[in-house]
Amino acid sequence: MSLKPRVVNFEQTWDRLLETVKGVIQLGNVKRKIWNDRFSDVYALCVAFPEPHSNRLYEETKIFLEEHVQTLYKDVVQAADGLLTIYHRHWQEYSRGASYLDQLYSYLNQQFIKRQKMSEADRTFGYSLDTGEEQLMDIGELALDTWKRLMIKPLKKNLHELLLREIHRDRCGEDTNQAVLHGVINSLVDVERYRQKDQVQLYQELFESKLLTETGEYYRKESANLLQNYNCSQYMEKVLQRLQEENFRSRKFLHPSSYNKVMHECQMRMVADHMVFLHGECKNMVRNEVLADLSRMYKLLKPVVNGLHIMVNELQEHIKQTGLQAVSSLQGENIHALFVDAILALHSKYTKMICETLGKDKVFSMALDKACAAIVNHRPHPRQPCKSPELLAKYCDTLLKKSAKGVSESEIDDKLQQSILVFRYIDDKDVFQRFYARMLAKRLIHGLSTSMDTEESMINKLKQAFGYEFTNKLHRMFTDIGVSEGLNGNFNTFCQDKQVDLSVNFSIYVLTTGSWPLGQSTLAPFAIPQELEQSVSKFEEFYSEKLPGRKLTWLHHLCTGELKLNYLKKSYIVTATTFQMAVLLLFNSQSCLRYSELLESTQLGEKELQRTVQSLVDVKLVDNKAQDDLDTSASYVLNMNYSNKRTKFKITTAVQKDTPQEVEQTHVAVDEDRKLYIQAAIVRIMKARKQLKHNILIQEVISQAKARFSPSVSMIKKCTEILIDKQYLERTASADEYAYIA
Amino acid sequence: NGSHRYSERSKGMATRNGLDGVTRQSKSDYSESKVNRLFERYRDSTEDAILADGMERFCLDLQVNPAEFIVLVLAWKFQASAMCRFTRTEFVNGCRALRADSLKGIMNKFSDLRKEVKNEATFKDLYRFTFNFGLDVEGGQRSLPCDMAVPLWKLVFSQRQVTILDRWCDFLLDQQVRGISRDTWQMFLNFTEVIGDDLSNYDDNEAWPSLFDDFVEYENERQARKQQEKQRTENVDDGYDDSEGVMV
Repeated sequence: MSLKPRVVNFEQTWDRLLETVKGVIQLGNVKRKIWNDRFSDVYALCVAFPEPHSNRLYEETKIFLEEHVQTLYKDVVQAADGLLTIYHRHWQEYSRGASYLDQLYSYLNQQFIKRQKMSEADRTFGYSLDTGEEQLMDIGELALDTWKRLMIKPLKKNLHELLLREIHRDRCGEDTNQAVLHGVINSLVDVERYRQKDQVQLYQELFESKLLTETGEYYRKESANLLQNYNCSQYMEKVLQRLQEENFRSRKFLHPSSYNKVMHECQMRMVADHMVFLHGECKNMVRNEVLADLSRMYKLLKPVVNGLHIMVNELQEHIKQTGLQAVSSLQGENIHALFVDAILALHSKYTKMICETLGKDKVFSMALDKACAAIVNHRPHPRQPCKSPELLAKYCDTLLKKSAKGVSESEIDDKLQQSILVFRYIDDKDVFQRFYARMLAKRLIHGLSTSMDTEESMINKLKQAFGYEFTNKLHRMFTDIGVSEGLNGNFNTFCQDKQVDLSVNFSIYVLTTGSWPLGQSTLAPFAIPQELEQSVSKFEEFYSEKLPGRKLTWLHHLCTGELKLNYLKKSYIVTATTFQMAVLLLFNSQSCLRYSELLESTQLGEKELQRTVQSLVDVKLVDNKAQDDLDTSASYVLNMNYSNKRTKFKITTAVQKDTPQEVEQTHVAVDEDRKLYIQAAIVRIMKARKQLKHNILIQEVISQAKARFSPSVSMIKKCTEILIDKQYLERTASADEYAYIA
Repeated sequence: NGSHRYSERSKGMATRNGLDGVTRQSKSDYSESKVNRLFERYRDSTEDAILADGMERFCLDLQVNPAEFIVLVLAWKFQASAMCRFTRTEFVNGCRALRADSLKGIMNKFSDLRKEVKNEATFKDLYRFTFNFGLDVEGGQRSLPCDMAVPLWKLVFSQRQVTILDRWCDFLLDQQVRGISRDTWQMFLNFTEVIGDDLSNYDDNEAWPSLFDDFVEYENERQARKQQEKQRTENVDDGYDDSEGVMV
């Protein structure tokens, strides 16, 4: 067969072609050879000589398609009850046929129609040559367009009514033909498949909008009905079920673009419209922690705009109240552990609830955080400082001390890790830091730590949680201890070199003044016992030689010494404070000592001496001769009948215990630190801003200090006043504004 | 730092008085030598200034009580740097400013002075002066002790109706407040103007010195206690009424 254009008899060829076209559109059996021949016929017609028959071919085909669809339409309309089924059957056949037909005509499509078609760009920019003339379409598109004009348009009313009726029946649980419904509904989109955009426009206008109205109406009634018959819990259960069904139904019948719209409509009618009711019920569910209901409530409210906030608030308040109740009843020696455990238990309980019941939703986690912070920072008495930082520091202290028995190192580590969680909630981080530093100092100086590794890992944990600045001093305390070990070694070599015999084992910690929370003000007057004098002076000599210019201050009240008691039946080794040791050593030369003699020999302050002597009397190493109270006229003798099961023991504990004054002192120290911190912050801010309104200054200071502590407005005011007084600041003429004085 | 600022302040005052002198000298209806003679009459034997003893005689001759308002105004007019003390310069400059060279002349100016400080701006100047006047700068004081501040407050406000003043002074004495800073002193004038007698206007989030916070809290607590007591006595009365009713 030649591809050369030739003279073609249109009628003859079209007759042949029409036969096949009929076969194709009805999905009849068309042999390959015939298909090929007709394909060539289309070609021949399009390139015919002298004039191509393309236009005529298009027109004839169009007439055929219109007639064909009209025949089908009659068939469908007659069907009445089975309308949808018949429509569906014809559509299935027709739409497939149309796509085959499109292929048969592909030469026409590509050569003749494409050339005349406007490009997408022409259409967009409104460039149109033949506005009046009908647009030529690809044969496939023509076929579908014909279907749309001659089948769907006239059937419009019947179609949506029937479809909605079927869907309603499905909602009522009656049987429906899913394939037919899905096919018919989607034919409204399919029929537009050649369109470049708005493919779903016809579907939306003809069907979806009506479906949504109908759906809304249906569920409005449904929810009113449910509310009459069920309580809230049951209602939520039913609604969730309905929603799930509807979701499934959408997928069964509808075009994907409708899924969300239908769901939204259902949620509006069944949830959003009854928000007041649901929120009202919410309070009790949260209070009583009805998990199943809360889970339902969450699922229902989550997709609704602003649906969750009341639930979130209720939960936050509930956690706060529960927590405050749990914490406020705590008391006793062990209160620090009980407190931390209570907070941790609360936190893990509600974290679990949020994970399992409330979809791990962030808004609830935030509510939990806020509630925990409120509990941890709660002050039972507004004028007293919050106890939590102290309790938490105590908790860590207990874990890190040697006394924590029967707990493995990894367990301790776990517990410390958890305590960081509580720590994060604390506002007054600086108070915690002070307490922690003081307790750490005691542990380090008295060698009470379980392990240095655990100590260090805890400091690193704090550093991770709060940054370098926070643990700076703690780290330096650690370094001092390390450096001191080296110093002791060097000192021993020094003594050997100089051939000095100290006659006692002597070891020392050199602590950097600023890094340790050891107030110099507590230094008591004290005369070192003769036995130690050489050690002290030799060490001073060694140290000033090694590091000239540094000043050593002896903190005797923190030192301990080991004494061997040889005057009893057994010999004992006793660890005593330096003060206790000084008193005991005096008995080496005398068996009975008057109070005044003790006072003179030790040079201790009266209070300190009384405390020391009393501690010795309490452990029965020394007897008060007169059996009187401590009195300036009392005299003391060694208890020669002393006995103890252990041969090695400590008598330091009573003296080293925390006193309420120390707690008070710590708070005072923190307050002083804060004042300095705030003043520095104010100066920094004012230096940068030159002039600032009072309120803005307060805000700035609060935001700068927030990470360390939450400063009170009155403290900021006082600091501002101090700075005005010191003439760093002045009030401007407007009285509520400050200016920086350079 | 501080001392530097004080010297600057006194320099400022000196130039101001100097200017006054220039304008006034042209009118020569008073004689500077008479003023100096007047000064000599009260001058202390050890120092070129009028001190406590001389001051007392001076006031007596002026027929005023040394603790009177007008004496404070006079001290302000003389720009006296300390209480119970006029240096020669202060005295001479002051008389020149008043254009008075005799006791009689000074006394004749009293009513003018009283009128002058009725003006708000002038009063403010007087008020601010009063703090410095009471302050023992040579003794290194930076804030005014309360036993000095309270009488000065009462004095400076003696010609004005400041109803809150008594409650304020009671508070200071009751709480044993130690010292009044310059800022607090100056802001108290604002306080009397803005807040006045009705403490419900007070907002401690505003830039008031913290002593005012304490004062308002103290006052409110006191009022609440009063209210409670009043209610309690009323309740007790009610109780009696009830029991009587039952008995009848």
